[in-house]
Amino acid sequence: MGLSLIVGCSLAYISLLFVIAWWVDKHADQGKSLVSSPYVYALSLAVYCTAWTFFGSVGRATTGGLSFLGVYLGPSLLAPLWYMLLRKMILISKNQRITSIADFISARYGKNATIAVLVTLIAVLGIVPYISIQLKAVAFGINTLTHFGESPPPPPVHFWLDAGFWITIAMALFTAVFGTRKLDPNERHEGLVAAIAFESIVKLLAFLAVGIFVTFVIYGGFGDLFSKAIANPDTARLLSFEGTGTTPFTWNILCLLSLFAIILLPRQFHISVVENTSPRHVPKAMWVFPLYLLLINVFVLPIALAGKMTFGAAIDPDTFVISLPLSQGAGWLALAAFIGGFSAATSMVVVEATALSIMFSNHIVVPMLIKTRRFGGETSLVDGASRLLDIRRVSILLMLFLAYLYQKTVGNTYDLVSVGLISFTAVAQLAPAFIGGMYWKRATNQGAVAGLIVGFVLWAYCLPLPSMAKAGLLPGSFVENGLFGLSFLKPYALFGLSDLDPITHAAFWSLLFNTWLYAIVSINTKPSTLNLTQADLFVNIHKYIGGQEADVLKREAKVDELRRLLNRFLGEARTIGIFNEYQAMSGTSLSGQQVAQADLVNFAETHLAGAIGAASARLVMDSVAKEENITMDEVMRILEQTREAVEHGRLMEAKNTELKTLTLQLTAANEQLKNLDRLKADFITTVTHELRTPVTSIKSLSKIILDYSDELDAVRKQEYLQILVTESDRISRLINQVLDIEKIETNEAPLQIEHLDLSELVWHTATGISQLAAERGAQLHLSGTESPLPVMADRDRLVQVIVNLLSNAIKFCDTENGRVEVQVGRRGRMVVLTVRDNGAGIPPAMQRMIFDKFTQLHSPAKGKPQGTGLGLYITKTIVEKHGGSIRVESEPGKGAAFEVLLPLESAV
Amino acid sequence: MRTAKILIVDDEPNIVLAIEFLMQREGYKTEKAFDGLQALEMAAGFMPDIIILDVMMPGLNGFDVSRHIRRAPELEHCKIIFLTAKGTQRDKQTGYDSGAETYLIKPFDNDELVTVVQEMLAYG
Amino acid sequence: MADERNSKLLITFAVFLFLFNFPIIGMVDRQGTWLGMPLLFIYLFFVWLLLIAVVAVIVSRKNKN
Repeated sequence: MGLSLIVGCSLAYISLLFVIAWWVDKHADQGKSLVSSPYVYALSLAVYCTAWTFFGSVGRATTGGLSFLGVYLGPSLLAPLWYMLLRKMILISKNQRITSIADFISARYGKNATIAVLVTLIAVLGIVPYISIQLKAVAFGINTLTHFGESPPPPPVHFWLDAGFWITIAMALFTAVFGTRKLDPNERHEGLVAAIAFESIVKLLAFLAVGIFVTFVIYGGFGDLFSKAIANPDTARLLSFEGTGTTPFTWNILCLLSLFAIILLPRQFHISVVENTSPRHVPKAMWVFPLYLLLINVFVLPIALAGKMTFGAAIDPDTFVISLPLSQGAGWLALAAFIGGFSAATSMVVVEATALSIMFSNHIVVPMLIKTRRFGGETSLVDGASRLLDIRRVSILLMLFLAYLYQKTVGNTYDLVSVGLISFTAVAQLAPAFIGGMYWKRATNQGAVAGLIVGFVLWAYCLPLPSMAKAGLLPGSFVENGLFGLSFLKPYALFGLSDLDPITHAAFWSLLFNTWLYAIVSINTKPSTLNLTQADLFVNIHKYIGGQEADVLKREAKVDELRRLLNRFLGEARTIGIFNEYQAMSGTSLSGQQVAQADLVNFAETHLAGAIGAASARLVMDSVAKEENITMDEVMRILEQTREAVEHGRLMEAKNTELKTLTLQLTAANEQLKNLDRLKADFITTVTHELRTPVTSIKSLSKIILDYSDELDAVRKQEYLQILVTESDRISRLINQVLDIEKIETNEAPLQIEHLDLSELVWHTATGISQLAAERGAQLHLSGTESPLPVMADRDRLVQVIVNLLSNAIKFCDTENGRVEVQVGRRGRMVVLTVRDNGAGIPPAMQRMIFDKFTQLHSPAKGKPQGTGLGLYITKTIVEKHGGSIRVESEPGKGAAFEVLLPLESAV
Repeated sequence: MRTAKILIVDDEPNIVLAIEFLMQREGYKTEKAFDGLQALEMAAGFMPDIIILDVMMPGLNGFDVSRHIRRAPELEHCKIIFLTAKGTQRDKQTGYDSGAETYLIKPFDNDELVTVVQEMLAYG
Repeated sequence: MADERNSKLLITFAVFLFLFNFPIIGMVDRQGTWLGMPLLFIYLFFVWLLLIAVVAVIVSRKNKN
């Protein structure tokens, strides 16, 4: 078959793609989305099926039998979980304007730039082999079509004679034009998605056509083909895992790698999350996409078996899809198969390179330029938007060139699937940080960095480096003998684990250490504030849907500066659009406003993040916005949002010390104030109540006397008048005591300290009060007053204490045989005054409260006491002001003993 | 028409005295209680038409007394008037929620109390 | 309702994780055919189809509500 025909068909095919993309984009610009359909979404997800699937699976099946299916069963198995996982990814990404997997992971760990760079590096370096197999497959396809049945042509002397080189150039141009036609802040490319969905149909139909041709035309159906294969011992062994040496462990690792790949491959993330038009498309895709995978795989084993039986080992099995039709003279079908494979390769390269270029420019080039002030700085005259696109185009060229180099030097010696699995293993390194980030709030950026680095290093050491050594690019001794001659460092038998194939071996060790370090470091490090809020946002995205990003850091910027900045990166039209959107959303007008508030800064940052990635946007924004100190209120809000973290006390420690002490002081002061307020409110309520009670009696009874004077006899009138007097006394007593408390508490009346003799004071007071005791039928016993007890005290206050205690004792002592014992004496450096009665005593529960304001004892026998409930509180306060203490001892039924301790004068 | 029965509950004897005088002067039969438990006992035996009830009392408080009475089917007809120094809106709400018909605040007006009782007896 | 659907899908995942794994696979991993096709081939594709059908049913049943 002539080269010109093949190139012509390929060009025609590519032109068709352009037409589709252009047509869809035109409609999209008019606001009509043609790709917003669950079926288009599911079909575009089938970008998962690349030249690997189209050519490589057959090749793999000729040695590994059905084990190649693991690559498709992993994603199919994950599909039921998409409902939870993928929708969550989409919601988070829409909320945070995330544009790539690197953006996603770095945003989760506090918009950490290091993580963005790491993920980008892992993705770019890890995916290079994967892109290289697409280039190789297309070159293979062309060679097979042009040289079928001839001996393979000698390798070209100059690279410009190599078809692969021109294929690379063509692919790079195609990708650059397709993926970077415009700078969309959301990185949405509807035309691209439509073209990819179309390509998925082409490759499926092409492969099914070949499969049906082989199974039903060359052979007489499945039964015929399989029975012949079983008869041949060389192909019969391919029909079981046992015959192909597929162990459970190899199988599991393969399924696991591909399960990760379906969410973590940059192009899968791009198509399934970034290009997603609505999370509502996910449910249907959950079964349509696996169905697609099933269909494209049904004929892989039959084609492999047929090829093996037809050609034996004469032809590279990776080309069976084309060479089998050719061997039957079906040139048109072979050409169709090539176009199918070509479409599989182009779809992969276009989306993968676009996704990688977004990451590469946003996380590596732009931050570098910003730091060296070459980009977005005051002096830059170049329009940032077009420059950003140029950077992307250059990075696409660069990546494809790297892939070409890889294929020329290393990739040629391996089959397609083996090289592709190297990329799968690389991408799987993102899994712990990615999945952990979505479900484990405690994960920190240090943990993510540690896991990513160790995973990447082990991957590189166990997979690409040995293959480079095999290609002669590195000395091969470390592969044979281990690094530095240490045999446990052999890259294919690390730590002595020697009986696994290289992929399974590398995947096992790298994922093990990656996950382990990620968890261990996370547990042992403290997350930053931003990390905490982002973690909460990622893990609990459903809380935030519809709301704005939690603006933890309060930032301000000049509106003008903000406008200039956005102009530079997004262009004038887009900037005006953003400002209008903000005004409409917040209901404020920006005209005449000098300072942009935090929400506008954040709003601008999210939009900017859409263009240059979260980490870069943050960096740029920091140049114009200054962060204010976080206020108490905001800290409280953060605390609330991250209750889990507060339990560990981590947030507070993460704050700088100044803020920490300030916070603590404020909290304490606030608490104290609140407490005082509450006490004051309680006090006022109680006093009011205590005043209202006697006033009620007085008002009612005096009105009765006034209104019904003629109905009352003299005795009654006398009784009522007496009550008026008692209740009035009660009011004045209460007022005096409240004033007393006020005085004592506020130190308004300082103590008039003088030399006093407690013995004398007690004796005098007791004598004065004995009259009252006698009236109540109580006996007063004094002891210990013979010897002087010198104290330094305020005479009036001390008398108040003694009177209070004595009158209480008299009031509460036994009604029949009342007896009050008063005793004074020394105890060490203190003087002791004890007042003991023989009343009902104080219940244990009351003993603690008895010194509080307004605590009153109700004796069942006497009903409500006539006190105010303030006496003992005042007593206690006075005693304490004198440096003493008071306590009560009582057993119910056996009376109560109050004991006052005061410092002896010599001890003062 | 039979004589109306009023139960006066308050831990302040002087207030009880005043209310007792006012009620007896209207020709009502009165009983007194000085705390919550006593009030419940009296209510069960005396079967009053109206209870004039204080809130802050030792032991069982007035709100609880009211709730208990509302749970007793034989006291269904009995009206409850709170007469208390607790005067906040929340206290009032608690009072009404506990099943009282009226809530008066101390210090009260003699004529007002008498009128409320009269009307309650007349119109139910 | 969404929770219920989620748990159904989780259970589906767990069941098929089991079905696509050893030792179940080991039980059909032997020489022999069924309807002229190798046992392992038939088993893997049949279970795969079953998985797709189960997911489709769970997902679309809800949509009608």
